[in-house]
Amino acid sequence: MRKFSQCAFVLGLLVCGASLAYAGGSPSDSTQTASNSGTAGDTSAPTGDLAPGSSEASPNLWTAASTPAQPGVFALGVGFPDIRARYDFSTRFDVELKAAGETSTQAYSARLYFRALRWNELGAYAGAETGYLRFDGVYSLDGTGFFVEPLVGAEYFIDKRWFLNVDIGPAFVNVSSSGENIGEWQWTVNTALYYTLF
Amino acid sequence: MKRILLTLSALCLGSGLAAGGLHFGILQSTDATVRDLRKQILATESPVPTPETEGCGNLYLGSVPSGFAMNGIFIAWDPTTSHFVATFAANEVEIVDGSGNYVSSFGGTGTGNGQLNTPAGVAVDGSGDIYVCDSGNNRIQVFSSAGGYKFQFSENSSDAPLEDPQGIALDVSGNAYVSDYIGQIWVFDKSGNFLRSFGSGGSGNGNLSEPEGLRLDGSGNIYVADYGNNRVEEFTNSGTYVNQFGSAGSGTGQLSGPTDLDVLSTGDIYVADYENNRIEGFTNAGAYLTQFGVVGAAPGQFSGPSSLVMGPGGDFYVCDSGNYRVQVMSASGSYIKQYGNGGNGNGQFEVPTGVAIGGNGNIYVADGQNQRVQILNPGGAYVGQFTTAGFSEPAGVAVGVSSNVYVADSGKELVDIFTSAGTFVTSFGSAGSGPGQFSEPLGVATDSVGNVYVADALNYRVQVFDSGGTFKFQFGTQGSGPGKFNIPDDIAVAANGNIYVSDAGNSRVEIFNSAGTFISQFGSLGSGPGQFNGTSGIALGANGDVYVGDNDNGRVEVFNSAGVFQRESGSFGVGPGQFEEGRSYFAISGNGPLYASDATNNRVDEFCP
Repeated sequence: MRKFSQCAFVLGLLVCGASLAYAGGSPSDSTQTASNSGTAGDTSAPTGDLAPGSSEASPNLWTAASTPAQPGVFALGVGFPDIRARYDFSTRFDVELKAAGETSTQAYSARLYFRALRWNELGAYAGAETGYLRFDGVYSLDGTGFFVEPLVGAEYFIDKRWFLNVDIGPAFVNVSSSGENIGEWQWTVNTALYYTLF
Repeated sequence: MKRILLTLSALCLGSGLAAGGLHFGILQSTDATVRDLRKQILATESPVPTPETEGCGNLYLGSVPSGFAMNGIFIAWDPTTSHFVATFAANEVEIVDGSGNYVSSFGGTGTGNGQLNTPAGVAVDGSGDIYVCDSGNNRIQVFSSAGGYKFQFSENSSDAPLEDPQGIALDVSGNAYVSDYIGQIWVFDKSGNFLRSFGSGGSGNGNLSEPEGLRLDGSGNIYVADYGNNRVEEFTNSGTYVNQFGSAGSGTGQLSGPTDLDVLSTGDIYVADYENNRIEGFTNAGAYLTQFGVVGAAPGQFSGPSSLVMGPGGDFYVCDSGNYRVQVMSASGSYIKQYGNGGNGNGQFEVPTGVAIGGNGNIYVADGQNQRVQILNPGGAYVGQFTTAGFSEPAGVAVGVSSNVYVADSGKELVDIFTSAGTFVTSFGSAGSGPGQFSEPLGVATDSVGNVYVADALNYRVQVFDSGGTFKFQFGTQGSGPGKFNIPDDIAVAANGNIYVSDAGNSRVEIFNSAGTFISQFGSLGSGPGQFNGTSGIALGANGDVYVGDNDNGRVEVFNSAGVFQRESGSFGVGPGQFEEGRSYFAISGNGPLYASDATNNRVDEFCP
């Protein structure tokens, strides 16, 4: 029941976000949003003090998915528990480097984002992540591994510089220790808070 | 208790602790995978620490219940004693009675007479002699029903060079039929003289690929679990191929790595479908009849069922190797009971939590899901139980100076008081956050003047009562600073009156004076020496040593009275002396052994102090 509740919450969040994005993502909306999104090189600049929810609210990291975006935007994020650096290198694609760690386990990974939908403060994306794992003394085992994870997610733009995202995907986690190896699919939720630098 | 687990899960979101099937962040996913890797390693290696019989060096001594505590490989029924005999990866053969009580064991690692190297199939003849496939030593050894070595055959034999014998069956004349790894069936007379062999490696009719268990039917025909070919093959007694059934897959009538089978008096054949985690039944002609079991650890579920035998009462006894238990299933596949990992019989536990020692040495164990407190004598034998208060979720247990037994019931938000014989006296407390009220009372302790201390977990405080349950004072609030708590789960009171509280959510132990004033703390989140991954239970030894359960690291850590790390015992796992993550409590009396409840493995372990 606990697992179901967690899944329901996260999936509900994603579906809600995607639904809003889809519902509001008509070509006319996108066009209007695009027309207010500033020009290249000006993506982090405010386009006016617009109330949240306004159709003229300005995206700060990228513009509406159906319109040209401005590459070159860079943001830093803090996840649970990880740190991230994200770079918008094309209209629809971002790349991200991510480091997660605690006392006994570390993960170093790279992410690719494809921005599918965008409506005002909400956006939906798909992506993939892959990375290297290292663990020391976890259940008395030391070892290394890797993971790959396709993912879908939603994000919420709090203001001109801050935004949140949450995504979910089946991560294939492969770890090795003591001459033994195992690979398993693990449903994984990721969330982070970002700050757009420029 | 359920709320505690949920709250702990929530607390774990930022620290990488597993929260179930859905994981928050790749670190939790990695943690879950490493845990399964650990289980995989445990399943392929001997996970069992050697019990120490001399001296006392912080080592595992034994468990209650003790029967079938390890991962059985093959199982057989002894018709002369009605005992069950099972082989274990730890190079041991264990015998339990029909109720699952430990009778004896024999073996030991080595190549000498009576020693074993990766024992596999086992069979018992009409006189009670036990035949064991000593696969790593490429021989069959024969023992008396008491475990005494009798003789062996095939070792270095030019007639029948066995290669890794896996399965064995006996016919009514005492002849032994042995399957070996290279795909042949070897037949020996009851003295161990080679008679004949048949079969060969391959996948064609009459070929075998890594055959394992085998049985004979009433007419002497031989059925072999053809592991590598995902099928069962039938031969005449002379070795002529007759029939086969099963194919690779998980569908009805299909098999994936069958490891053993049993032929019933009706002629029906039941197969341990190992990789599919189920038992499938077929007619003797190979027509599919039925199946039972799915993957899992709940009653009636399997994790690698490796062997089965129908007992004298018509029930199946299934070696559920990955779950370290033997499950008893009805002929129709309904779960009846299990040995070795939980149960509701006398001396068996389902999620044991609190444990305490009375003045007479008796051990009181809160048997959580069985909603009772069981009394064991110092040797671990069942003495009695009390359930008269109608427990909901009994958690911590303590014995007061008057020998009364205090049981914190986290489900009913109160503390029950019993006499040492189990007669209900009274209870105190109710749900709430006011003085004398509780929200998930877990640990309970008493001091030398009769005061009762309760870890009021979700009120983030410790409450102190007199021996009759009258509220005296409280200390602690929610937080992570000195003197604060984030789910205090257990308490112990030192001879000088200092109060030691295991603070699960903060992964530390806090020390207070008898008035509840904070003195010091030790421990932090982690898996190194002196660190905790969520504390779980605390007890004090006669010399002031502090024993603290380290929940998700699967161990007990020992500190001196000042909180300096001394040593640790246990590891993550399901073998004797190991812990699965889950709530544990501890009790120690004087210089006696340390008793540790192991909630997930459903037993009480005994350690040298």
